[in-house]
Amino acid sequence: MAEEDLEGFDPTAAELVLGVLDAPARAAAQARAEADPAFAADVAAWELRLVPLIERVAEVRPPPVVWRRIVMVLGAEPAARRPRMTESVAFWRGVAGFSAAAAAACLAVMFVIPRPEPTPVAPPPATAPQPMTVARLAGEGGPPMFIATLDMEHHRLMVTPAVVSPVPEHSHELWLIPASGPPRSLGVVSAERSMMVNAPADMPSDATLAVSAEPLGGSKTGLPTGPVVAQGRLAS
Amino acid sequence: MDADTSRAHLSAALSLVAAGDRNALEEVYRLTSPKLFGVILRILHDRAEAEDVLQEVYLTIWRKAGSFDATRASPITWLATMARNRAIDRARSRGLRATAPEEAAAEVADDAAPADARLVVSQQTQQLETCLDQLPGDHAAAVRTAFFGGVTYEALAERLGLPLGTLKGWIRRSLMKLRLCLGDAYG
Repeated sequence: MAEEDLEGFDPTAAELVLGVLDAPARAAAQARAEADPAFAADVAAWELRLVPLIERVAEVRPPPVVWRRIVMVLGAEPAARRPRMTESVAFWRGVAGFSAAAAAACLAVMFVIPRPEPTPVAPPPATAPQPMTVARLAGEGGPPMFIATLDMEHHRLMVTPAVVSPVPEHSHELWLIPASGPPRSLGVVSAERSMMVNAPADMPSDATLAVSAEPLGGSKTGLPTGPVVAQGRLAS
Repeated sequence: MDADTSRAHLSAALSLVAAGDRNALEEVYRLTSPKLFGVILRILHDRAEAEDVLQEVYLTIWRKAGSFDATRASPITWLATMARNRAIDRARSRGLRATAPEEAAAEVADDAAPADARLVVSQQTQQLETCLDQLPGDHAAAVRTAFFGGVTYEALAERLGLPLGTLKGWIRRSLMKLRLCLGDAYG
């Protein structure tokens, strides 16, 4: 197409909102919106112009399990919004102070999983409850940092961050701790958003899981090298 | 409840969510999750993935409800913007593992179809549709399909059987005309 047809109109903000940009162009536009307030305002204006069209999208009622998972994550958060544990420098100094040997020992020892009472939130008009297999992954005596939900049908785990903040220069890596043998990596998990990780087909539904703090991108050795920051066991 | 009342109700619920009220979050979920799930599902075509994104969206709402500005956006537009962004990000991150062709073809017909006149829509949507109606029909249909599906230029060109440059020209000129048609109210 002839660019001059557009008479100086920069379509990028509109294209970002419309959703037509491919992954690299979208990422570039999102980064630009972070850095350039004028561009961000342009994006916000296009959201106001275009997004009302969602009124034309048919509603689809989500299954009750979605709300139950939300409640579970919220139930794991402290009711009062105190500063998050992992935002404290002292916490991370403490974590860094763990020796590798202590970390290995942690992996071998089963702690009692703290189970804070979820704040009662009435379930939505529900259909028959479906059993859920869940692990609350917490540091010793602390609130859960991650919630892992097992999807048995697809052999995968959904790992949702609860009381955890992203920490520069660390990755959180999830491990399956077998009854015998070394821990098996299930991959790096995000402190910011839910992630799906594949679960080994032979993973028991009461498996013990742990999260260790590893170098960015995860352990290079295939075994945990950093301190265990959270662990828990799957239960229905 | 009329549109203004339900908008005010939802805005109030969001401000309670910002203050940490979990029951208010449940109310927001009850009122808006079917719409948001519909929006996400149209983009992802995969229920399990759409459920994950829906969960993320409400956890984000829980954490970020304080940044909602009722003087600027309607609450449902604000929520739907978040849902679309997450869903499109998810679609992009999975790359080309895309929709089955027959499903995609059905989508095109669906999206391009005239709007259901029985639906009561906001003034903003009416204005936008008036402006869309002033575009050539196939250009307006391409804009609608792009919006509802959150699909890339490349995927959309393939679906519509158009050269990429032609489609980009249609959409960019359409966007420019929409901006002119909608006026300065949007900053």
